[in-house]
Amino acid sequence: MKTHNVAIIGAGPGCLAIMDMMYRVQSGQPKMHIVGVADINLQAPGIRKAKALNIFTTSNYKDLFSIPDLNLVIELTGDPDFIQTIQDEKPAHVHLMDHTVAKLFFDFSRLEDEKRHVRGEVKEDNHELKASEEEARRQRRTAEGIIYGSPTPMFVIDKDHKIIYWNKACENLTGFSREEMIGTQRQWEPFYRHSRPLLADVIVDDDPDQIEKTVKKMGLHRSPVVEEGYEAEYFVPHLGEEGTHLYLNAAPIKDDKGSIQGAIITYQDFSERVKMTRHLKASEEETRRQKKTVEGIIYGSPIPMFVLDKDHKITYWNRAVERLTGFSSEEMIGTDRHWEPFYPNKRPILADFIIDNDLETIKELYKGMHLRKSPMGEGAYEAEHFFPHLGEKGTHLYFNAAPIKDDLGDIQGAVITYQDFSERVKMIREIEKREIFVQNLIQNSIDGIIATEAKGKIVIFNRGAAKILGYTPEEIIGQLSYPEILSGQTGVAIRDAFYGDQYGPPGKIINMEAQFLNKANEAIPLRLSGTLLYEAQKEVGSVVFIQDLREIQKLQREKESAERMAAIGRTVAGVAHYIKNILNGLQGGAYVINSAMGKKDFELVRKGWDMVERNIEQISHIVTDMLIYSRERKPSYDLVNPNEVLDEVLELMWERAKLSGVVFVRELDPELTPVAMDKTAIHNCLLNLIGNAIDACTLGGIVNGKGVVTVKTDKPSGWGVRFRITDNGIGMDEDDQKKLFTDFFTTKGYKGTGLGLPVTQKIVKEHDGELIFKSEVGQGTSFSLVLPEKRDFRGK
Amino acid sequence: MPEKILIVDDDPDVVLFLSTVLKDNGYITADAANGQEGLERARSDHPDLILLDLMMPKKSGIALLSDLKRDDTLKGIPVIMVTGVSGETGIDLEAFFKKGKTGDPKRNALKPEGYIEKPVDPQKLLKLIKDVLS
Repeated sequence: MKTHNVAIIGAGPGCLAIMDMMYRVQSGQPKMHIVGVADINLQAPGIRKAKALNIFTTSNYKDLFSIPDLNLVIELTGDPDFIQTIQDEKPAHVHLMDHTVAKLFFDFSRLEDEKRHVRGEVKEDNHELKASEEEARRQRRTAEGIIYGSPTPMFVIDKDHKIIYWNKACENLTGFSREEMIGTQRQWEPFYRHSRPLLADVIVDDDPDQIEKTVKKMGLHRSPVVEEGYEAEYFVPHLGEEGTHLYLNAAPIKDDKGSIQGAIITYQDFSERVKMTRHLKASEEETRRQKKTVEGIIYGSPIPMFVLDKDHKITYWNRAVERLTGFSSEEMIGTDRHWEPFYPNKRPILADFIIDNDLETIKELYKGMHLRKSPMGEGAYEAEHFFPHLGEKGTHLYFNAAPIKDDLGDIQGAVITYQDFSERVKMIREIEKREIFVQNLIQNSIDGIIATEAKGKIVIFNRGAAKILGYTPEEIIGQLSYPEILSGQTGVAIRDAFYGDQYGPPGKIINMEAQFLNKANEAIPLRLSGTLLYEAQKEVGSVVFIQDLREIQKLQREKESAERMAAIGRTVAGVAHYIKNILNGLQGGAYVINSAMGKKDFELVRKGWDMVERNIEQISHIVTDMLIYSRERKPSYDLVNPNEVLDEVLELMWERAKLSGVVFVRELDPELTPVAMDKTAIHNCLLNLIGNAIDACTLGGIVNGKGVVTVKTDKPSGWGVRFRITDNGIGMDEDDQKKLFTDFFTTKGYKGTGLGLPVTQKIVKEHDGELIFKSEVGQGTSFSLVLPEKRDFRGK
Repeated sequence: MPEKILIVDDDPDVVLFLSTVLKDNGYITADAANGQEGLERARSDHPDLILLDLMMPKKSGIALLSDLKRDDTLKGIPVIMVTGVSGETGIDLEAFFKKGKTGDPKRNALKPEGYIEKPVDPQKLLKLIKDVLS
């Protein structure tokens, strides 16, 4: 017979009893050999006894599982949860007997003992027998109580297959109550759909063939605990909602003659455990798969990375890092050579310090390499560095080292990833170069460039702007905003120009003329182009380009002057003709006077003298016009009410208009305020324009009924004054209009010098004003002369 | 019977000067200030000769000359053009007038009988008038 090596967990009184019993009943019984006792209390009586018997003792029950040839563990702690723990942790080949079964077993053994004792020693003593039967009954009742209260499902049938015990746990397991089961043969019902014998029934029948068949069919094995008992694990699909996985133990109950009186069956519900095991297996599988996947990901990742374990040995070295470093994973994994690709001599790298949690050294060594905490996780750092040793021309790397921590937060290794920044650094350098180029462009542009951020603070103020406005960039940038370098009116005008479409589409200004105040608070005429800057449809600033119109105007004036000189040269013939005409008049006048003197005709003398005078006046006119036209002169400004000048001119022209049959219509704006102008020059202009208007009405005869010259004044916004002189005379065709401002062009025959309009235009330009006309043949002509506001003019 | 000469010029000074010269030398004068008036006076006064200014506003001397030469009752009146500087109009008047006389009567129609440049020399003018009238 096989020897059973038993270990006992829980060294209380039950343990003592079992030990006693085992040593008492060794003969003829299954050879039980106690090989170990465990109890957290090393002073427990079972421990002390075991020590005395030279049996292995321990405070950790797990130690028992490593005892060689252990077959059976007896649990005597009485803690149902602990039973499961043992069940889960014990080696598969070791059987477990929990405290209830152990007690039962013990009681039966005691009973046997008693019977043997009675049989052998007190057979003749009835009283004793009675006492002994009494005792047996008492014990049986105790056993019944134990059976019924046991957390292990169990039932007992008698030799007629009738149920005699059906305990509470069995009720819970099967859902069949003790009341309905006891006394019946319905023990199959919880387990099968149809009536059939259970293992217990087979045992009770004691038919060796049948037993043999059942053993094979159910995969039974002999119970190590109970003589002639069998055990099996099997799944009962019929039991419970999802079926139940049961561990079954069935053993015969024999009387003292050895004949079978019944059978006891205990169950253990394994379903949860089986489920757990399956789940565990599945999750192990999953973990393995994940690990493989992670390995695959690491290996195949385009990001160069490697992993160090806590002993600084390389555990992963992926393909990308192979490519980056030229070191293969075969030669690297398992070594601590990870420094080799990066440094000429062996030294720890960032990951090594992280594994050693040596943050001080990290900060010290890597502070010049843009060291910063990585967003990759706690304790991770990243840095950038140029590795001259790596690659042909060295490599600029961004690297990130993050610790790998276990559940308890202990560092188990580190993962290091790299990003090759060489290309990016090249690009950044290129961008920087371009940036410098753009900066140079901005700074050295002749145009003034002024840029503001969203709140209006000036952030770019280039040398061109500095030159034009007389500030240094330092005085402006971040210090001043537009209102301080613009007159308020100009600021409003620029804003309107930006948001309106007067000077290009909204958001842009193309070639606007404006005035900025320079450092000396002088108005500087500028040509301005600009654009509002947007980011994601939000206005984030503006940039304007300004050109100093003083320069341009100076060039313009020089050009005009040159043109005038050329014109004078070109038109000497015209002048000669004109002077020849005057000479005609003078000679004529002299002749007439001479003739009249001879005839003593004094009326004719007067006529001749008038002729001479008129021609002298003509000479005076043309000389004045030519002087104005040919000479560079600056207007001599005064603040003058435009209406006053116009009235003076009308007064002078009144007689001439009357003689020509022309009437004036006077519509002057009484609200006009004084405007800065060269009064004499503007007076001349108005004389020219009004004289022209009268001539236009009379030259071709009266075209539209009575000749009417309308003179108006008003104030367009942004300007000081507008004079409008409109006639209803002959008008001009396109050819005449083109030649209008050409020197010495005239349609007035002997009367025109051809210089009136060129002179007028020159004066208006000198005032920064504008001279605009509209004319239609047969309808008349309208001239508008506008003068700027010159707000900054404060008189002389 | 003194010959009557019509002076057409927009410049009153020229008119006064020319009429003084002509009256002093025994001619009768009439005058007109522009081409339109000149045409009317030519019709009403039946002048023996017309002194015609080339450059005038409204109907120019050339236009009046053309009208006169197309008018059967007026085309017999000889015309002397009084011109300013020839370069002024862009037309070489001297060449135009000198080469004017050809065999083609249609082209002759637009030719004056004589011309004189300003400033007018009284002696030259009187000789030209005498030549044209004879």
